[in-house]
Amino acid sequence: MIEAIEFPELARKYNVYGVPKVVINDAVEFEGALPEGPYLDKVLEALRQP
Amino acid sequence: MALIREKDRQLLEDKYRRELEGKVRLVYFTQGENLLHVPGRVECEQCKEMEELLQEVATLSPQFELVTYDFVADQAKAAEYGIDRIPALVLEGEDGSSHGVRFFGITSGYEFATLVEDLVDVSKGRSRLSEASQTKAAQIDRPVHIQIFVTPT
Repeated sequence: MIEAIEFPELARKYNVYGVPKVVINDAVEFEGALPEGPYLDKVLEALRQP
Repeated sequence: MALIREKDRQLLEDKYRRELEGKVRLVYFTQGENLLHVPGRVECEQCKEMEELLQEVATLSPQFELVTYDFVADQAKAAEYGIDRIPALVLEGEDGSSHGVRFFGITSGYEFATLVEDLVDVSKGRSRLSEASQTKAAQIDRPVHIQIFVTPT
């Protein structure tokens, strides 16, 4: 968990405009909450990225 | 002045009495007291308040242990835990097991609720995900780094 206001350089790096914003392995990102199934799919999607 | 209101303190003490299983170590990295202003040094705006909050949290249950490190003076510890910015909090299970839960920045506002629940999860040391999700997650054989950006309001 990263507090976006305290660390603006990270918020800029990951284009955080809305929260919560989730970034997985710097490969997949999404804004807002997801149920666990689709959330896990995002994690697996991130692992498929080269 | 207490950061946790008396009413909340009682609710949390009750909750933790009921729900906690193993001990939880709250490993906190902060900026040491320094009366000298060092030009160019980044001051940690939230460190002191976060420390006060964690000191109060640590008193909510005898199962909690707060360990505080100075980010600069205890560089080796920071490196061991992979901490590159402060304030930072790592939650560790009883056997020193890491569940990968780390907080960067103050856990106030809505994020206090996240901390409250994560303390229980780490104490129990098991996932609340469904069996189907856990089976699916078991096939993951590489490290996964999940960053969740939040604001304290």
